[in-house]
Amino acid sequence: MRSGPGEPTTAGPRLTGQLRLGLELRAGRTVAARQFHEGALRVLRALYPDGTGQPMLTVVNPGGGYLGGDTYATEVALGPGASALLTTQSATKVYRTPQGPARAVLRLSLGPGSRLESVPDALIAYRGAAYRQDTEVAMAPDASLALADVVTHGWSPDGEPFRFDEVFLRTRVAVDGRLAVADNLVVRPADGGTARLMLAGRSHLGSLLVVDPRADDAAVAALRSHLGIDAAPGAGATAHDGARSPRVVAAHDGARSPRRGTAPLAGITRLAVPGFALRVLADSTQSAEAVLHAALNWMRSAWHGQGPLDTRKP
Amino acid sequence: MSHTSLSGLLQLTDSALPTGAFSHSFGLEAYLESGEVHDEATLLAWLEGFLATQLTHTDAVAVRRAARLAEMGACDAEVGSCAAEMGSCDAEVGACDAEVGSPVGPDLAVRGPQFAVQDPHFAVRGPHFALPNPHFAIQNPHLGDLDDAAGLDALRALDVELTALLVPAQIRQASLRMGRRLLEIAAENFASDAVASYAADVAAGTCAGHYPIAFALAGAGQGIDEETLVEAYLYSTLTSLTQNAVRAIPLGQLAGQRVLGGLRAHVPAAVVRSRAADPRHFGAAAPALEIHQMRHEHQRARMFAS
Repeated sequence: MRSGPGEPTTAGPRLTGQLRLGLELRAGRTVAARQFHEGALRVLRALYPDGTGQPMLTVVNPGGGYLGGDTYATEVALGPGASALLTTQSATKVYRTPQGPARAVLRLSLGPGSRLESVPDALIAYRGAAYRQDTEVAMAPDASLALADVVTHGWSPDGEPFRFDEVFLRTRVAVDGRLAVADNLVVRPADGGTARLMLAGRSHLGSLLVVDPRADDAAVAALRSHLGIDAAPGAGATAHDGARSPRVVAAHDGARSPRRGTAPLAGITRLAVPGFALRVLADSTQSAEAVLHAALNWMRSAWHGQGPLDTRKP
Repeated sequence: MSHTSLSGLLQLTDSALPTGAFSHSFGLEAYLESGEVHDEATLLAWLEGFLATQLTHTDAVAVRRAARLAEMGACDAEVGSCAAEMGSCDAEVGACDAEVGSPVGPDLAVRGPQFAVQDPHFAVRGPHFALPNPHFAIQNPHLGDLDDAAGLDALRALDVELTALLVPAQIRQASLRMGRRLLEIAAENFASDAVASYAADVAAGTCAGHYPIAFALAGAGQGIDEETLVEAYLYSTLTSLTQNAVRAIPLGQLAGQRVLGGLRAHVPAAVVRSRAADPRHFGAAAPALEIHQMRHEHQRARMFAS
């Protein structure tokens, strides 16, 4: 039974799905030492795509999509030295939510020397959808965090873009107990949410937030150059080492974009703590992901001697 | 407003006040570079967009929160240091936020023992984490450290939050340069306990020293109310930006005044929006604007530091 609005809630409503993982480093491999799931959230058997001992953990929503009033909770705790790549099996689709916003809470705890890459598929909000996502991270100063997100609108019967009600992504990262990064994205299309200073006429917003002691000014400058961001808009293909980031070249060429020739608009900046924020506005999921993945792969190569991301779905 | 506070407000918002505002474009210069802003009409449209996004969701809310804390501190000036008073006012400000904001919802109002976060601006109050779960026990000591945030007084928490949510480096640096400069000016011209306390925290490294906070504390010390301070902050920021654009585009002085005249009509609505804003939306980003602010860092020919 649901409690009334004024009553103190002790147990809370039933969650649509919850998933908790406790990851530990054991003999060079990160394993799920503790695991709990309930309802419409579970994780596929861990895959180890390379020799680094880092598992790829694929979160699955058997329900297929988020509906009004749905509440999902995911909690991942990494012990000292543990490392994981967290991804999803498919795009997160949010349908009409007349019963109230669909909510998702992601809580991440990164112990000393641990590393987490969170690279979910795109969030697609359909007509009449409201979605609120809270991501809370508590991490040790020498831990490494990479949070990627891509948001877009879904198809609507009248063919008009951006018919969802609201997408609200709220991210808070505390390093050693102190709030270090706060990132709020609120897109309400009916309330100026697609204005020029918001989405600049693009359909896809990508964001990559990295907090890592290696991400100093020099690293961010190198990454900016690698991504071709320091070149004039549209000139990316000639302004950087294309051999090392072929997918960005493809994106800049507009080869996979429905609006041929429109390069993604991207920017990167240093955070107040070691780390950076990378944002990209693009016209397709592939184009937005190409920029984010190029940055993730640069870090994998430069900092971890690891091959590029391969999140191809089973 | 008394005559004393009016003259205080005029000095505080005078574009001749040497805060360095003349050297910041807050991303506008990147739009000049791309050619998207090139005349009176495109400048007006850009400034309207800037007002509706970053100025309303970040600056105005920060001014409002700091002004509220300063007013509460001033009501109770006999009890200890200003910082302590502001800490004690934290709960009240939280309550104000709860009134004006859209409801977080009772279903998200339970906090879990492993994640007990006291800072009202931080907490994701999910019931999911309160469910007793014998299969799972988190042992990360860094989570417990978050409780220390409760020990920070509200103004310090606001200062930390601004540093965290001003994501583009040049925007963060602009806020700090102008904020620290304004604190210097305020020590001699807008002295109050709140100004002195914040300046001491900045000198000690406890606070970073942000412009909207310094502005609010300096103004509140002159007896200027919260609504007036927010409106004055927005209008004076738009004035500096317009003057900078008149130099940079360049535009005629009369065109600049027409732009300001046009913007003036939008300021009261922005003041109201910042009052009614969901507190959880504080600092809501304008992605395209932020990308331009980031790209300004490596723009070749620059007149402005942001």
